Amino acid sequence: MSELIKQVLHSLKHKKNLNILMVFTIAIGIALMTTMMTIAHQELKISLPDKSDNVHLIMLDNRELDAPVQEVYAMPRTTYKDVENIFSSNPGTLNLVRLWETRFIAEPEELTVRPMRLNASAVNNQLFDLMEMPFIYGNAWSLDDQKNSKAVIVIDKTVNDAFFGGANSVGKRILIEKKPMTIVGVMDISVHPKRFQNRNFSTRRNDQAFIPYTFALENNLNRVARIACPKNQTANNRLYRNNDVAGLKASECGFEVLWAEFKDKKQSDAFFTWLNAYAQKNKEMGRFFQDKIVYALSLSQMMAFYGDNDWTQTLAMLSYLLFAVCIVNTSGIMLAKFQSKAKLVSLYRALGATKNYIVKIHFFEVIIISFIGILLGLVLSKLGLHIMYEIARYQSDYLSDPKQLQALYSIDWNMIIRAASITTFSVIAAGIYPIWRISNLAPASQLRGA
Amino acid sequence: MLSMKHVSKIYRTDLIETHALSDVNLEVAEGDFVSVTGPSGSGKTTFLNLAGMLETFEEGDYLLDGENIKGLSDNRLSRLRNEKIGFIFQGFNLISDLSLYDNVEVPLIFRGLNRAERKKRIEASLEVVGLASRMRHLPNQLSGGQQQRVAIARALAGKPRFLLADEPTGNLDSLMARQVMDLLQDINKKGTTIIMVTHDPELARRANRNIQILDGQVSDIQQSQLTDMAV
Repeated sequence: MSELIKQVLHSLKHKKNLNILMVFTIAIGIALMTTMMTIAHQELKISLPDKSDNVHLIMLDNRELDAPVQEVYAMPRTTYKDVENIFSSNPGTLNLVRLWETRFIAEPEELTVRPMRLNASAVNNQLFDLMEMPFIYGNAWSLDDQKNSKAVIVIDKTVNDAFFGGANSVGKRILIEKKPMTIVGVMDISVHPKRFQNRNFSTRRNDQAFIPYTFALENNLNRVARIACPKNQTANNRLYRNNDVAGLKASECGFEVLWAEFKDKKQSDAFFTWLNAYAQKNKEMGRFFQDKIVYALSLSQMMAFYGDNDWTQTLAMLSYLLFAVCIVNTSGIMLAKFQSKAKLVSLYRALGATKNYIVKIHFFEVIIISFIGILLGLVLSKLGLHIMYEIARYQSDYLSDPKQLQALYSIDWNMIIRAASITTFSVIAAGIYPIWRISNLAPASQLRGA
Repeated sequence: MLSMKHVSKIYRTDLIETHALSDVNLEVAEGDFVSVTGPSGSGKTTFLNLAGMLETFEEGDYLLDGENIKGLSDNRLSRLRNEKIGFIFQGFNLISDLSLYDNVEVPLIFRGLNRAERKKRIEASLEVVGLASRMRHLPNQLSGGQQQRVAIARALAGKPRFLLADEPTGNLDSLMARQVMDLLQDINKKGTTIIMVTHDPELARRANRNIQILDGQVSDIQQSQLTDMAV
């Protein structure tokens, strides 16, 4: 074996420039492919893959009869009234989650560090179970805390790092719009690269804190997401966003995102039967106008919609084509290199090397070249992903959360294994013809003359 | 020990057939030193290539040490070439970026000999050709004659039964040619059978048997006829 390696290394020394060219061709091909494959893969990655078929976004279409036809994905948010009714009727779910977005200034009690503007959501505590949220310290708030509108908060690791240097901050307090809030848990939301919980699937920023919805209503924390009001109530939109909580509660304006997680199909069937009946009853009372009122989309259906970025898919397709071009080029360079060794191979054959031995030498040479190409390609992929990340940051005017965005442009080991396997297989396939040509060289063909 | 019976070699293209060798019948005994002469294009090299199993033939039988090589697998032919035959080429065919030691080692690696055995053989064969002291040099640091002696050492290292030499002095001046011929004669005296293709009647005369190839036909000739050819 060591002799074979010696022969392979000797063969590699031959026409080094062509080797370098091959390595760079492979590396560029794999870098383009891995970069785009990774982005496409991360975009399509399902949140909560184990239960994404059982988690549903629930929507009730309360628009007027003359409202334009629209995609299910764009159906309005749910009104406070309906969410309250659904919760109080408790039709049977594994988790039922309500959520709306808010934004506030947070600062530690002692002004040791600069205040932060946090993207947060007002939620009920079942959200943490639905999101399978990993807690670094503490836990979700209790039902009692929620019922009593307690000033409690769950913060993300990034906030905890900034305010408390990563130490256990459970029990400590921070100020939210100057109101003291007790930290009950520190979560690591980076496991969710997409902010799916507010149905936007943003890869740019995620929640940095969660507070009980009861506290948010009682203290009138602003509501930053779109509030969908019927035509006759649109004028109050701004009021509902910042001031008039009582008015918002009583209005037909949808601002809550409602998620339901079901144990099984039986449970979901029962839920939707109840919900359809509820919708019909409310239609009779004049609250709904459309023929079809209840809409639901599973998390996996929503992922398929939001992850299906045409531009990314086009770039990914182009990168595959470029990779194929690189492989064809590699084959051509390999052919040129091996043919330039015809005299040497003829000599080897005359001196007793079998065809198999010639194949082995060149096969291992191809493997080594592809291995170096893959390694270099992965380094270039890392660079490519960083460039794409910087472009995305630029596109978001540097307002996106770098950590959140980074998740989308991070090398994924599955992708590396996949890209490396595809490349190895492709380079070997590309090497078959050149290896076949050189190993079938007639031993006497190149040995004549001076 | 080398026997060709009714061997023919035809090169075919789409348009023409060229009979390079026709009905060759030849016996070469152990220890012979055979020179092969003939005009350019007469089939000398083809004959040597067939004898060295570098090419296949269409008709006839070729027995090497009693084994009919017709229809043997590539693996078996490669093995026979490696074990029984040593090649010496006009252009030396040394590998320019390998030292003399490594050049001589190549066929021994193909045979699968262990490192110690290879070392012993390489040193011995370089000793025979008088280049043991320069075994770490590269071929381009040697003169043409010395390079040919390395090629001879490479051929000898495998302890072959036959040495097949194609114009071994063709690229050398007369002094170096004489030295190489002296070396080949010494090797032959120690028992290795040599078949040497040459244009030079002077060198052919130093072999103990002379054959001539003319239009693909092989025939034995006398030393006196070589003299006539030289004239």
